[in-house]
Amino acid sequence: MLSLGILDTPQEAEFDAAVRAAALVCDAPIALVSLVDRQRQWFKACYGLSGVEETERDVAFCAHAICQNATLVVPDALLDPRFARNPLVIDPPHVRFYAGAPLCVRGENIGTLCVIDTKPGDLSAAQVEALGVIRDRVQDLIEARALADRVRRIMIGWDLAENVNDLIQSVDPDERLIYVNRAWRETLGYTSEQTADLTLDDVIAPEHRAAFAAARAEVFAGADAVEIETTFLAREGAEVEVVGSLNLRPGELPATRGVFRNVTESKRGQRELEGFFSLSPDLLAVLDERGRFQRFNPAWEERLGYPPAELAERPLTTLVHPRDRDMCERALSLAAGQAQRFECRSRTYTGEDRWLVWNIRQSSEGAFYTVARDVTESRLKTARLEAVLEGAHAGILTLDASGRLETANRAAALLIRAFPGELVGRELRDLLVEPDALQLPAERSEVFLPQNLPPQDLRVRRLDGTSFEAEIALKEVEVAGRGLLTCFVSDLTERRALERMKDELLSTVSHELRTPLTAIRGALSLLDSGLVGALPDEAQEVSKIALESAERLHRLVDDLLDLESMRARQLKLARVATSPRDLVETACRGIQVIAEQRGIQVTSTFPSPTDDLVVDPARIVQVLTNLLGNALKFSPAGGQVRLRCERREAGVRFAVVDEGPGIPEDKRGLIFEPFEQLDRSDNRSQMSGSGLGLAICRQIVEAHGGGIGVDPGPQGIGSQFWFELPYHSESRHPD
Amino acid sequence: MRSLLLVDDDPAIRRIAQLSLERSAGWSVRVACDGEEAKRLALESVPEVILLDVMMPGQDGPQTLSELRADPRTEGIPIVFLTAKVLPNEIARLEVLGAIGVIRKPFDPLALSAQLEALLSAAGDA
Repeated sequence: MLSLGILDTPQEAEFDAAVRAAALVCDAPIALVSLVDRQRQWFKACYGLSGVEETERDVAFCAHAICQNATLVVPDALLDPRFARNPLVIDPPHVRFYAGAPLCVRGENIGTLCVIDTKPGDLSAAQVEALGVIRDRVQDLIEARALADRVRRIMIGWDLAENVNDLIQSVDPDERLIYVNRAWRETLGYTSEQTADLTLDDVIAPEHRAAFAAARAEVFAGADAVEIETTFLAREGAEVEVVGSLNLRPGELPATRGVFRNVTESKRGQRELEGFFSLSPDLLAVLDERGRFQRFNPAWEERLGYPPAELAERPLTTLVHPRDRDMCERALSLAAGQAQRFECRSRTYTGEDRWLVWNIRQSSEGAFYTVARDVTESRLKTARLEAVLEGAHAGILTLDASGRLETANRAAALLIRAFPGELVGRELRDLLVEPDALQLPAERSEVFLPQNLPPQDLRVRRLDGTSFEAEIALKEVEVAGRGLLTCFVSDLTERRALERMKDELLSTVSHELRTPLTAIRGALSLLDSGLVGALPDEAQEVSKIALESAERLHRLVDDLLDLESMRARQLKLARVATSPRDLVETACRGIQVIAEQRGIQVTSTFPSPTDDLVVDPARIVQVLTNLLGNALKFSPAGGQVRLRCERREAGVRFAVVDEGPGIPEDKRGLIFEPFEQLDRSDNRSQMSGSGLGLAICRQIVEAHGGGIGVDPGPQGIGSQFWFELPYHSESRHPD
Repeated sequence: MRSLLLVDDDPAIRRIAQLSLERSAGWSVRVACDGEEAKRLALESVPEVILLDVMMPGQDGPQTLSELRADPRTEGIPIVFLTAKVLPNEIARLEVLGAIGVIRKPFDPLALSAQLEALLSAAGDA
C-alpha cells in the first residue's frame, strides 16, 4: 500500500466523481473510497460526510469488507451481530446500512469503495454490479496514479543524480558502465554518447583497478556499502582523485552504484600544505587540547635539534625557559579567543636557549596551532648594534626626513645634558643656537636618492642652557622607501682647543726657526756673492754647500707651514679665470734653468683652445713646478720630460711624464702622504726636497675640487703624474 | 744716497740686512733695535723707507707703525714689514695695518733691495 504513494494525498476530482456516482447508483447519502492500513481507514474520497477523514481500523466496516473478494452488504447494522455494538452504529453517524466493494490493486485488497446510509437498506443485483464497475474504475485510477507517481519519483531521482556535484556511476557485473551522471561526464570529459561503451578499465587508473574490483565483489556478496578511495582517469588522461562508496543498485538488473566526491583539489591543497609544512623555516606544530605536540614540521629538528620521537606527545611548556613558562601558559589559556603572540626563551634539544616569537591559536575543536620563529640572530644583531650605539663616544641620533629626533644614544644625551627620552620628538634645529644655519637634505618628490651632506660646524644648545661647538654629520639612508637621517654629533671643544694650540706652536716654531735661518742664509748668501770680500776657492766651495743646506732647511720650514696651514683650512685660493696654457708656460719658465743644468729637455703640448679655469694660478703653478721638479730630479741626464695638457669632459687634465725609474705599484698611494719619499738615500743636495711636496700638491688640487694621482709612463717607462681640475667647482675649503 | 731705517731686535739680522742693502744696492742704512729707537731715529732724519720687524720685545712692529702714523712728521714714511710670522692669517693681519708691503723671513739678501724697490714703486703708483 505504501508503495502506491496514495495515503494522505489531497482530494482528486476523479475519485470524488467516483464516490458521487456510487452514492447515486446505490441511492445512499454517503459514499467513500476508504483505504485501510494497519491502524486506520483513511478516505481518499468522501461524499456526503463532512469533517471526517479517517477512523480507527477496529471500528471500520471496510476492515471486514477487504477480507473477502465479494461486495459486503450489511442491510441493517443493528441486526448484524458483527456491527450491532459498533460505535459508528450506536453513536453518530448511526450507520445502519453499509455496502463495500473491495479495492484490489496488485493482488492485494487495500480498501473499499463503499456506500453508507443511516437507515436500513439493501442493494439490487444491478446496483451491486454497478458498484463493482465503479470500484474497477477506482482501482484503475489508483493503479494509474501509482504508476505516475513512480515515474515522477524516478524523474526526481534522475534529476537529482544529474544535478548533484558528486560523481555517480552504475556498473553491471561485466564492468560496463550503464549509467554515469552529468558531474561524472563533465569531470572526466565525456559526452553522453561517449560513455555508451565504457568499461571500468577505461575509467579507473591501472594501479587502482584491483582494489576497485575487490570492493565491487564485496558489494555483490551482500555488503551494505563499501567506502573507497580511488583515482579515475579523465578522457584526456588527467587523474581525478575521488572518495566515495559503492552499494548495490536496487532493481531487476544487478549493478553496483558508486557515488564519489572529487577530492583532487583538496588533495592538492593538502599536498601543498604538507609541502609548506615541511619546507617552512618557522617551527610549525599542532598541539592537542592539553598543549602536547601532535604534528610538527622538520624545522623542529633542523633548528632546535629535537628528533621527532622526542617531541611527539611532549607538552609545549617543557620546551620553554622556566622563567617564561607562566607567560607561555597564560598565552595558551587565552588562545581560544584570539591568536596570542609572545616572545620567550626556548630550549633546544641540547639545552641551549633560543629566542622564539610564538603565535598560537586554539581551534574550536581544542587543538592549538602554533607557529614559532627563531629570532635569536636578529635579537643578537640588535643587541650588538645597541651596544655599539650606547658605547659610542659620538652622539648618535636618528631623525625623520623633516629633522625630528626619533632616537638618541647615551652619548648624545650626555652631550646635550638630557635623558635620551627627553630628546625624542624634538626638532634638531631647536637644539641649535642658530637654527637657521642647519642644512637638511633637499626635499625630493619622486625617486629617493640618499644624500650625504658635508659635516656642519654648529653650536648646540644643551638643555641646561649652555652650548658647545659641535660637528654635525647628517647622512641620509633609505629605510623601507622613506628617508631616514642619521646624525653624528661630536663635541669640537677639545679639538678646537688642540687646533689652536697646534697653530700657536706652529707659528712660534716657525718664527723661532726663521729668525736664525734668516741670519744664516743671509750671511752665507753674502759670503757667496763676494759682496763682503772674496773667499779662497775651498772656502767658497764650503760656503756654497752651507748655503744650499740652508736653502733646503728654508724649503722644509716653508713646506711644513704651507701644508699645515692648508690642513687647518687656511688655504686661501685667489681664484681668477686663467688659461691652462699660461699656467703651463709659467711653470716651465720657472724650471728652465734647472732643466738646462741637468741637460733635460722639457716639452709641453696643449689641446686646441680650452675654456679658462677659475683657479688660484700661483697655487696651480706651484703644483706644476713641484711635479716638473720631481720629474727633472729623477730623469736621467739627456732625457726628456713632457708636460701634457688635455681637455676632459668637465675640466682639464695636466700630466707630467718623465723617464725616471717609475713608482712601484705599492707605493703609488703612499707618495701623496707627508714625508713619504721613495728613496731616502737619494740625497742629491741640489734636488733634495722636504718630502712634503706631493702632499702639498694634493692639498692644493683637492682644494680646487680636483684629483691627483700617478700612473706608470708610456710603455711602462718612467712615471706619469697627473691632476685634473674642474672648470667649475665649489672650493672644498671655505675661501 | 737713498736712506733706509732698519728696525729689528735681532743684531744678526740687522747686520745681514744692512750689509746686503748697503753693498748690493747702495742704500744708506741706519739701524734701530726697537720701536722707541726707531721713532727717535725717524724724527732725527726722515728716511725714504722703514723696514720694520714685527715681533720685537717691548713695542712691537704694528704698535711702532701706528705711532709713526700718528705723528704728522713721520706719518708719510712708507713702511715695509719684515716678519717671520708667515702663516696666511698672520700675513693677512699685517696687510691691513697700513704698511706698503710685507717681506718674509728668511729673505734673500741679494734680492732684498729689489723687493723693496718693487713695493715702493707699487705704492708710488697707487
